[in-house]
Amino acid sequence: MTWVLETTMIGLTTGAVYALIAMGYNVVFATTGVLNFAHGEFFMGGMMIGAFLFVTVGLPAPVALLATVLIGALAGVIEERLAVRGAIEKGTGLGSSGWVLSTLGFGIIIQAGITLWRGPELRTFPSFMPFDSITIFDVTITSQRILIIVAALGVGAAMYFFLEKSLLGRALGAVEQDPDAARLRGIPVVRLGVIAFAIGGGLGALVGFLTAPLSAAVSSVGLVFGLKGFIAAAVGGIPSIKGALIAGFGLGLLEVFGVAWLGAGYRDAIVFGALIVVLMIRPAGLFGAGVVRAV
Amino acid sequence: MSLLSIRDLNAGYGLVPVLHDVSLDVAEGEIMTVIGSNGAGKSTLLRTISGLTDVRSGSVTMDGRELTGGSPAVVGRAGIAHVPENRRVFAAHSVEDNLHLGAYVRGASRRELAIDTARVYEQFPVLGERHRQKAGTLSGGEQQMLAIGMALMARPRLMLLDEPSLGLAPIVVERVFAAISDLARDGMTILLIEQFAHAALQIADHGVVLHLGEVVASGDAATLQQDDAVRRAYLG
Amino acid sequence: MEKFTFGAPASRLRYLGLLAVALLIAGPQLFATLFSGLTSLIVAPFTGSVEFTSSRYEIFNAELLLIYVVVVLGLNLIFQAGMISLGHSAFFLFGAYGVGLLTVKADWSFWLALPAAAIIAGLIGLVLGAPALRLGLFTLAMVTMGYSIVSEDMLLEWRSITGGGDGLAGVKKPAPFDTIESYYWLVVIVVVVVFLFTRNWLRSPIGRAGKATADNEVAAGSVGIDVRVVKLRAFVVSGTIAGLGGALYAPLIGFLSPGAFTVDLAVLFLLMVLLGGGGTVIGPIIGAFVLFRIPLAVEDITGEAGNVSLLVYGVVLIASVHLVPQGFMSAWWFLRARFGRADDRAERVVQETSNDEAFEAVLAQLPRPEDACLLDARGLRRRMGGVQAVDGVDLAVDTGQVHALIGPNGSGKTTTLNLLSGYVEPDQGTFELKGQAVAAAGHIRARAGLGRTFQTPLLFDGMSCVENVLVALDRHRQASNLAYLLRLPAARREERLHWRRACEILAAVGLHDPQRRADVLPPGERRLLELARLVAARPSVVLMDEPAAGLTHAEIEHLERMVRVMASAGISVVLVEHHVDLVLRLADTVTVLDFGKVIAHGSPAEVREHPDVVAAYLGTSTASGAEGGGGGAS
Repeated sequence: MTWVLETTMIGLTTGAVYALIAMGYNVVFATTGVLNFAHGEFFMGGMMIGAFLFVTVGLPAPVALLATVLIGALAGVIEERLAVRGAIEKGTGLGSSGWVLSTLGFGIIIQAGITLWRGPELRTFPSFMPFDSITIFDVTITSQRILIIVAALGVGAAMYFFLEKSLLGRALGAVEQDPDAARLRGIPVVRLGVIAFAIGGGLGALVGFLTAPLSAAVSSVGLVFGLKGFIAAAVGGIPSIKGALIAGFGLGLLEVFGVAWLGAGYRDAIVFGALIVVLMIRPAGLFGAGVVRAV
Repeated sequence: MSLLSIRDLNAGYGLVPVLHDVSLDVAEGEIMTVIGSNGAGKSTLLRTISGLTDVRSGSVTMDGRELTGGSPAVVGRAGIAHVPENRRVFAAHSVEDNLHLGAYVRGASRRELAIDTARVYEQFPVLGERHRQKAGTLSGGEQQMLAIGMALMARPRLMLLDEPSLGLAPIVVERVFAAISDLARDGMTILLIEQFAHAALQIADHGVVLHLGEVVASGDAATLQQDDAVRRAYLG
Repeated sequence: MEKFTFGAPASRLRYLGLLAVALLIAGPQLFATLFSGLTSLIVAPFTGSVEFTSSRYEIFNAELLLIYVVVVLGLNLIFQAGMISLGHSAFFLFGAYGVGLLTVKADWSFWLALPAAAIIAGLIGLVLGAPALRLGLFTLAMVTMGYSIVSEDMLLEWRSITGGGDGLAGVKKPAPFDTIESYYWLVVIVVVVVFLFTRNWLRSPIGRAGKATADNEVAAGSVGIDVRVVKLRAFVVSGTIAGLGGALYAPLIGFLSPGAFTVDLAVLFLLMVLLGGGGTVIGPIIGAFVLFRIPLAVEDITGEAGNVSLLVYGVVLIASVHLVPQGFMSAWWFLRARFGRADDRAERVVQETSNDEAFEAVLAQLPRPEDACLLDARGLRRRMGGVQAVDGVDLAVDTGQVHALIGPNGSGKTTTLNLLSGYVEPDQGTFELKGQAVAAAGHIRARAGLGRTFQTPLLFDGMSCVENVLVALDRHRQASNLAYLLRLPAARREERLHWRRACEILAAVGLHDPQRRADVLPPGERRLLELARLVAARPSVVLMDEPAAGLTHAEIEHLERMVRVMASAGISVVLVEHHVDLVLRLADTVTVLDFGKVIAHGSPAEVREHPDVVAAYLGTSTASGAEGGGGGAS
C-alpha cells in the first residue's frame, strides 16, 4: 500500500511537469496557431539557467526563480521575432508552415548554445524549500513534489481564467481564429503574439526551475520532456487547459506505474503508446476543439 | 458638416495600385453608399480607411483629424468601426465574447462593456437570446447582426459596412437593411459598400460609383438611381 | 490556326544531371576529390584554404553522403504528399540493424539481407503510417519524433538481440564490393536507381495525387483521390527507401550502435529535404550536400564539431525560412523565371470557335449517361450541433436536368449538399446513383460520377491550372502505375494526351494561360478553373454550391451558358444558389428548404408564387423582383 501511495506521488509529480509544459504549448498555439517545437528547450533552459543562478552564483531561490522566468519570457519574445513573425506566412510547400523549420532551428540553437556554455554534464540542484518533507500515512512526500503539483494546479487555474474569462485572454484566442478580422477591429495582433510567446517561454522556464531539484539539470533533456509535454497537450486536446491538466497527470501516473510493471526502458514507449491510442480514437484529443467544417 | 473626408486617395497592395485619386465626403448622420462591380476597389477603400492597406498618396481625415496610414487601433480610437465582408466573427467564441472583443480597441471597463452589450441586445434581440452560443453556430443573417453589434461596441461615430448582403437570402437582406436604416436614424454615420446597388441606393442619402478604382459618378442617391448609365450598368 | 506541338521539357537541370551522373561514374577517388574540394570551397572564406583530397576519410564521407541522399529522396515523397516526418531515423535504423542482424547473427548473404531489411522497414512503415491518416500535420510530426525516440529506446532495451548499448559489430561489406573504394559502386547504383524512381514518381499521376493531397484534401477527394491511400502509400514507400539506405549504411560503417540513430539524425534528414526544396526532384540532393558538409566544415574552422555544428544548423534553418522559404530550389526557380525560357510542355491552344462551342465539344467527348433517373436521395436526416439540420429531405434528379435547391441560411442546404456528396454521413436516408447505393465518402461518390463545386472554389493553389485539371484526368488513366514509374512509352503517350486535353478544356472554359498558378487567378477565373477540373473528371451529376457568389454580371451569364451546355450534354446539375433570378431562369425543378425540411417543390414558376416560400425566403419587397435578389446586380 505504501508503495502504491509513493508511486502515485511520483506519478502525480511527473504528471504535473507534463501538464505545465503542455500549458506552455497551449497558450502559444491558442494565439498564434504555432506549435512551438522549441518549447522543450525552454524547459531545459529553465533548469540550466536556474542551476547557474541558484547554485553557481548563489542567488536566493526566489530571486533566481524570478530571474529565470524573466529570461525565459525574454527568450520567448526573441523567438517570436526571429523565428515566428514573418515565418508564419512563408510556406515550404506545406502552406504556411515555415515556422516548423524555424522553431526547430531555434530549439537547436538553444540546446547547442547551452551545452557549449555549461557543458553536457549533469548538475545537481538542491531543494530550496524551507522544509524537507511531510509524512502522511507512512508515506514521505518531498516538499519539492508538493510544490510542483501545487504549481501545476495553480498555474492551470490561472491560465484557465485568464484565457477563458479575461478580455486579453479572449483576444489571444481570437487572433488565432482570424488574425485579419482581429487586426481590422483594432486588436493588436502582433503584440498579442509576442505576449503569448513571452508567457509560453516564461512558463517553460518556470517548470524547468521547479523540476531541477527533482531530476538534476542537464542540457539533453529538452527533447524528451518537450515531446512528453506535447503528448500531454495533444491527448488533452490542444489548446484546452483543462485537458492539459487531466492528460498530464494521467500520463504521469501511467508512466510510473507502467515502468514499475514493464521496466524502465519502456518509459517513453508507454506514454507514446497512450498518445497513439487516444488520437486514433479521438484525433482532436480528449477536450480538443471540434473540427470546423471545411466545406 | 463633413465627418469623413477623403482626398485624392491612391492605395493598393504591394505593386498593384487599386484606388486612383478617390475623393469623397461623408456628412455626419448620413448614409453614403459606394457601389460598383467586383474588383472596383470598394473593399480596398474601406480597408485603406481602416489602416490595413498602404496609402500611396492622398489623405483621410475624420473631423479634421488626419488619419491617413494610421493603424487599425488608431483609426478605431478615432471613432471608426469596420464591419468586414463576410461577417468574419470569431466562430469559436460566444456571441457575448465577440461583442466584448468589438470593444477591445476602446479599452473599456467592465461596467461599460456590460452597458454597451445590453444596448446591443436591445437593438438585436436575437443576439441576446443566443448570447452564450458559439458565434459559428449562428445563421448568416444573425452573424451579420453580430458583426454590426461588434462594431457598435466600439462606440463609433462612423461605421464602415462591407457588403452586408453577401450570401444572404433576400428576406434576410431586407431585415439587415432595415437595421442599417434604424442605425442611421439614431444618428450613426454610415459608409456602405454594396454590390446590391438597388437596395443600397434606396436607403442611402448619397452615393458614389466606383469603377476600376476611380470615382465615375457621385451625388444624391435618388438621382443616381434614375441615372441611365448607372441603371444599365449596375441595376440590371 | 497554329498549335504548338508537345515537346519534352527543356530543362537546363537535365544537363546538370548528366554532369552529375558522369561524375558519379568517374569513380570514388574523383568524386571524393570533387566533393571535398567543392565543399571546402564553400567554406574557404572562413578557413582560408581549399583542399581537394581523395583520402579514405573523404571517400567514406562521400559514400555516407550518398547514402543520406538515398534516405532523403525517400523522405521527400512523404513531404510531397503533405506530411512531415521526424522519424526517418527509425526506418534507417530498421534497415541497418536488419542487415546487421541477418548477416552477423543469422548468417544470411548480404544480397538477401539487403532487400529483406528494406522490406521489413516498409512493412513497419505500414504500421507506423496508420496514424498519419488521422492526424494533422504538426501532431504527426511530433508522433514521428516519438517513433525515433522509442525505436532507439527499444534498441537499448532488447539488448539480447541487438547488443544494446554495446552495439553490433562485424558487419561486412559483400564481395565484390568489399573495400571502401569498391563499395562506392554499390552505393552509386542504388542512388541512381532510387533517384530515377523518385523522379518518375514525382512526375507521375501518383506524384500529382500526392501534391493534390498536400494542397487540399477535400478538393482531392472531390476528384476521386483516396487521400488515405495516397498518404499511406507514400509513407510505406518512403520507409522502404530509408530502410534501404540503412541497409547500405551497416556495411559501410561496420559497427552499429544506438547512438547513431537518434532524433538528431531524423531532424537532419528533414532539414535536408526542406532546405533543398521539398517536393522537388533535386532539392533534397542539394540540401543533403549542403547540410552534410557543415559539421565537417565547422571542424575545419574551429577544430570542434558537435554543438557548434548544431548552432550553425539552427541559424541556417532560421535564415533559410526568411530568405528562401521554399528551399534552395526556389532560388533556382526565381533565376530561371527571370532569365530562362518557359516550360514548353503546355500548349497554347488557340481557338477559332467561340468558347461555348469549344465547351460543347469537350463535353461531347465524355460518355453520355444512359439511365433515366441518375440521382435519387430519400429521407435524408442529419443532426448537427444539436440541431436537426436536415429533416427528411428527398431529392431526385434526372439526366440532363437542372435542379435548384434554395432556402434561407441555416435551412440545411449546405448540409444537404454535403450529405449528397458524401462528406457527411446521414443519420438516416438512402442515396443512389444510377440505381446503385453508393457509400458516404467523398472520393467514393466522386468516382461513382458525382462532381462538386464549393462555395469558395477549392483549387490546388500551389499547382498550375494545367496540373489542376490533370489531377482530374488522371482518374481515368489507362496506363498502369508501374508503366508510369518506369516511364514506359505507353505512359508517356498518355501523359502527352492528357496534357493536350487539359489545355483544351481550360481554353474551352475561357482560361488561356495553362501554366499560371491557381493562386494568382482572380475570383471569376478561379470559378472557371474549378469548373474545368470538374468537367475533366467526367461526372454524370454535378453539385454546385453557390457558384455565382462574387461573380460579375458578365461572369454570371457565362456561367449560365456553361450550365446549360452541361445539362444538354446529359450532365445533371444540382444547384444551391441565392441569386433567385438565375435560379428561376436556369432550373427545371426547384426544391425549397426551411429548417431542414422541404417546404415547396416544383417548377420555378410554381415555387415563385408559393406563399410559404415568399414568407420564409423571397420576401415581398423589390428585393425579390425582376431586378434580382441577393446581390444580382453587377
